[in-house]
Amino acid sequence: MTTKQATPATDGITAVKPGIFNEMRTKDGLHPDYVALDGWLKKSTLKDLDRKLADASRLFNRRGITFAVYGESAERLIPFDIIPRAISAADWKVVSTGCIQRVRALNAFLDDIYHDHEILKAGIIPEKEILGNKLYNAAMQGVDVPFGVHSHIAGVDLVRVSPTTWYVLEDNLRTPSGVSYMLENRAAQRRLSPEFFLNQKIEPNDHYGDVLRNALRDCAPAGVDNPTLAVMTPGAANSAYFEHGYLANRMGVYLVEGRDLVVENKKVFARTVTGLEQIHVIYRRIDDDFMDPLAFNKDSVLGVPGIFEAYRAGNVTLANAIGNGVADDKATYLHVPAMIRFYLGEEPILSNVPTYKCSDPSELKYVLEHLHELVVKEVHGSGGYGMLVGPAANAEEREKYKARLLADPSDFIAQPTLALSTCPTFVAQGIAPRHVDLRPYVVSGKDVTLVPGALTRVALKEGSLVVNSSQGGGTKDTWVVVESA
Amino acid sequence: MLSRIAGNCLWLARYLERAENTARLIGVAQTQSLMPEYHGGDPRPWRWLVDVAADDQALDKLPSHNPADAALELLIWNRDYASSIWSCLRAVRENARTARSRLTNALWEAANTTWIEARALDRDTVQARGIDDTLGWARHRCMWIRAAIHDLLEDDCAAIIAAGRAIERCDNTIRVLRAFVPAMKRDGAESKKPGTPGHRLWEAMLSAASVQDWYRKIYPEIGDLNSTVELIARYPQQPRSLVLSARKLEKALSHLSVAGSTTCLRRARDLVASIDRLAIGELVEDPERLSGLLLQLYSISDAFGYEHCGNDPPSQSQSQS
Repeated sequence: MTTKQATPATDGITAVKPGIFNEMRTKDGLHPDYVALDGWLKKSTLKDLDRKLADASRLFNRRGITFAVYGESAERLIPFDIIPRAISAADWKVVSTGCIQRVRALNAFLDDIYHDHEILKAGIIPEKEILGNKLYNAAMQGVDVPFGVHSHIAGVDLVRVSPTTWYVLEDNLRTPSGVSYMLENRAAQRRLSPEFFLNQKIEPNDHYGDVLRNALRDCAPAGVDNPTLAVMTPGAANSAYFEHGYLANRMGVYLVEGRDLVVENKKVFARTVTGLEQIHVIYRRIDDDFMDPLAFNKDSVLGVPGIFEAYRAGNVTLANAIGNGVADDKATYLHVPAMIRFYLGEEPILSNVPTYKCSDPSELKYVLEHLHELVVKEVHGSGGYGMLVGPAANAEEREKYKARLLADPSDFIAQPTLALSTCPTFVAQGIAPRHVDLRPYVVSGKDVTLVPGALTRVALKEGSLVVNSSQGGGTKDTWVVVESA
Repeated sequence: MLSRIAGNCLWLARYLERAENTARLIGVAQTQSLMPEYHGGDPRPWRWLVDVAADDQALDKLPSHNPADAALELLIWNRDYASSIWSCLRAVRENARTARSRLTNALWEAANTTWIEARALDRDTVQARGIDDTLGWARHRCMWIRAAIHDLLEDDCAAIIAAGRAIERCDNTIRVLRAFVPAMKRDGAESKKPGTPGHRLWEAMLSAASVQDWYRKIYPEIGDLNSTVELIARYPQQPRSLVLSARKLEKALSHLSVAGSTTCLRRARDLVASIDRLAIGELVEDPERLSGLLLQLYSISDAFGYEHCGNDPPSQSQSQS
């Protein structure tokens, strides 16, 4: 990175684009939660920030906070931005209660569609959309799970477009990743800039591991008072392996691969140095299809033969449950506000992004006519792959995508291109506003809760709206500010 | 503790010990090669080094011309040779990464940071830094990781790491004895006379076995081969002695064998008994007896892998991993 020592670091942070909400510099001036940060940036030169960034890189390297990208042999550091994001306690209250409400409804929905189908019978959601969804897993029909919790760990992706408007972009109810970055970002920020934490009250988030541990213990099979827990990973080559080990470590539980487990008499055991030990709760980071070659993908070598039978028999809890994909795909997403009303009798606190169903011919027509201004996504896609950002695509890219869309419209939804809020970010050119999203992690056991804080993902490329780490995104420490400086 | 992770912990400990041993041994050979009796490119210091720190095939391939360069390349930065310092430190890190959930953050960071720096080891960086400095760095890094190991819980994981370290120490000590006892008998006639090549060879033997700080505190007569072998093999307070390492191995395996005696534990007990029975004079007379101990060690390692790490049953022919 090239910098000039004399250049004040604050040069770029006043850049406010019309129509885009800048979280630090609103139209009313500097946001109170950014006062301390503003003071620090004003005192810093770009060279100071470069040094901080180098310190952060060393720290992350030393701690091995890496991720792997498919097709690349070397591990990568996820880019960490040294300028944190601040969220006021009042804003956080809206976000957290909204996310909790959403996850309660989604868990109720999952338990319902795998039992009595009340919401389908009531005509709230068309039956064929759920029972005909390829992610609906008929083998889960009638399976009871402790407390009706199907998604023990949910990552709710939010974007902000104004001081008071948050939209839910999607719900991740299967294997949401990134929480380790939320925690390690905080640890790094505290080491790099302890003064921030002395001068203002920022809610700690370090207890996430214990919150998760308690929730998983809550959901142990009936009659097990002191369950043995494990995190299940596909292995060291997986992109999120760091996180798997990290969480196992924070919870003080086994980190297992499929080959470490064996099923006997419908119970799951780990092969240990002193023999077999029963495992009661598995936080699995392996997709449904690969969990059990006897029940699902017969070619899977990552899973455990017979584990689904043990699960059905109630002898092991899988977190998250099998079959959650039907609730977090982008077609079902449309119905979450209705689920909240149906199961909880409440009005949604957080809004969905207005969404066009391409399976509906009239909506498809609109989408095709407005491709240049919409974001189109695969219904079952994730990770920022397979989507079209209309305004950023050229005519050829749009034409290619159009052909895919027309081939199977029901595989796609479209949304308006939102003006995601920006936060000041340290990039090669200096400090500049970059678009961000927010992923809080909702943990469900006996209670539904979340630690104050979330993962902020930032699109490091100028103008980009794609925040995924696999697509060049970075992360920021995210503060919930109780008391500003 | 998971059997698979047990294997990672065992090899973490073995490679860590091996990296440190190799760094120490290279330093000894390097110093020795600077002595007047080895001037003119005498290959002997490099031959014993490769004999101790590498495998038989490597020794056969050591060129007569410029063996120093070949030995340093093989043992410090070779990417393909599993026992080079570079490969050992990588293996320490990779095993720590897989076993991370059973380790402390301090231990993981020590292993990971060491590897981040070790990655750059190659001919150019070693030349720029100097061999001595490079070896010193490697040894200190190993000591740092070892210090972090001391803070582990005294549970299965610590027992397995202790077993790995003990196996590697036994292996290294036997190999040092096997290389140096014949050399001393051949070239160490004047070992009791300071300033002679024989005395310097004896000093090299002490350093190779890492007992140079102890010998003079324990034995009145310098340069005595029998006393040296006793210190290296049978002195129970000497931290790298064969007998102490074997007893530590037995203790670690006892910890793991809660359900009764296992094959590897029985074999470890046999090894301790073999060492206890060893007559120093006979060993000096016939150093080939040491090869029998090495085979016993291999059989323990194989049984350990089968009984505790979930490896396939060992084949009839024992092999060293």
